[in-house]
Amino acid sequence: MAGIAARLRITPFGLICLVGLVATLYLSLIWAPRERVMGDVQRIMYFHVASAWIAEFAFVLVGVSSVIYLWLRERRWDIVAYSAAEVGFVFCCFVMITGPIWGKPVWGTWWTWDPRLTFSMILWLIYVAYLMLRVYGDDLPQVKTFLAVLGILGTIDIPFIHFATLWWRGLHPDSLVMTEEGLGAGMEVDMRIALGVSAVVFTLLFFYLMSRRMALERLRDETEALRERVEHRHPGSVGI
Amino acid sequence: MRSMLAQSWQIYRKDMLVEYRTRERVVTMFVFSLIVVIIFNFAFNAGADVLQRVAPGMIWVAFAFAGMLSASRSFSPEKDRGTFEGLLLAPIDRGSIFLGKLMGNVTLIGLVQLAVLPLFVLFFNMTILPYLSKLLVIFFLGTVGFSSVATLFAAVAVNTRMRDVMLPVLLLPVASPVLIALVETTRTTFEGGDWQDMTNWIRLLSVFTVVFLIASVMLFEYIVEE
Repeated sequence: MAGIAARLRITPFGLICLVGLVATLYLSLIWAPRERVMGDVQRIMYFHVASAWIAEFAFVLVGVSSVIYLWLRERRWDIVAYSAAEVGFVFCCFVMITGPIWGKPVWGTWWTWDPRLTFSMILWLIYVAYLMLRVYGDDLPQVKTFLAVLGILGTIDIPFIHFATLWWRGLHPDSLVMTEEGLGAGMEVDMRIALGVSAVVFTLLFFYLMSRRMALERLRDETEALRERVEHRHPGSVGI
Repeated sequence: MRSMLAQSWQIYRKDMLVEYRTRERVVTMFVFSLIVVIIFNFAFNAGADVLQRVAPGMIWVAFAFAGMLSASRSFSPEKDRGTFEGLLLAPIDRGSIFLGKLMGNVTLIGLVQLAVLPLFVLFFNMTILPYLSKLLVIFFLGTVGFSSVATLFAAVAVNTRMRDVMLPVLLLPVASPVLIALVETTRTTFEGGDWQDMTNWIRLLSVFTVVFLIASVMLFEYIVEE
């Protein structure tokens, strides 16, 4: 096992995540009891809710590291923010994909403008804006500052989006109320355990992916520095 | 604080003087809002009752786009002519540059709102006079809140390759709570609701405006540094 892991360059941390993911799959798909009304499709909740937690947590991490970046001006905090945004975006996409798959059989519709769905949609759009600014502004010297500003404003915005979407639909009594309202109360102990494990494993997975993403970004910096050094010594020798 | 206000007043005066001489921003914004209203009319192709229900949304789509136009144009000519460097070299607080630009944007959007609202009333056969004072408060609050984010992001977007595309992408998701609140309060007002019927929304609008105004003034300094 360890030999294969070394060959595939999986760190021990990654190995723990892998084992955790297998355990999560077992607990949520097989071990947890079948939901009486919704049936097996409810099992998507274990992944959906865990990713939603990561999607929000990751953006707060973007905001916090953005503040530190503006304060200290150290590249590593920009790397933390960027990596958190990119990995968080993947989880946010996962939320947006698993939601409708669950919603169609349960609600009879792929999408409804329920507060939580609207919230996730806006959060997803802020992630998109962040990543787009990173890509389209990569030739700018100040792009890291711009991104930090967007990260901070986006994080400040989260409570506002939360309340705006809540009151927007919450005032309409006939709107669909998401079943997560009964999350704590209505759930079986086994289900709660499965969800808890899933949330912990997803958090570990998030940090693992982030650490890999950060390592990649550092390698890029290193390559860039090496290229500049070679270019300085032998002009024209580096093609790209 | 006092000198900051005096400085931003100078920036504001300069921008308004330029605008007064060319009138390009305000005219473009006005025509643009008008077109939005007319296009929406085609898009819905509905009876008067439906139109009155969608009118608040329509109004704010028109004004949000006009606001983006204004914010974007408050920086792009300065950038293109190279006068923004001059502005930054001036011995004034950077926050006051932002405040001056923001005041300019609020003024221009306000002017466009004053011009377009009567046309809304005309086209959609709406009653507006009894709600005028309420609408003024809501519009002012919302326009200041929206414009502070818009002005800040316009200063960011003007530097990027895709500047015209980047502004809505950056701004609209972040400004969505204020837009939702504006549409809801405007709708409640038109339906004859009182302040009590929208306490939550007014609170959200005010807190958003104060928080983002302060945050924008503080963050603008970082955006314009070289």
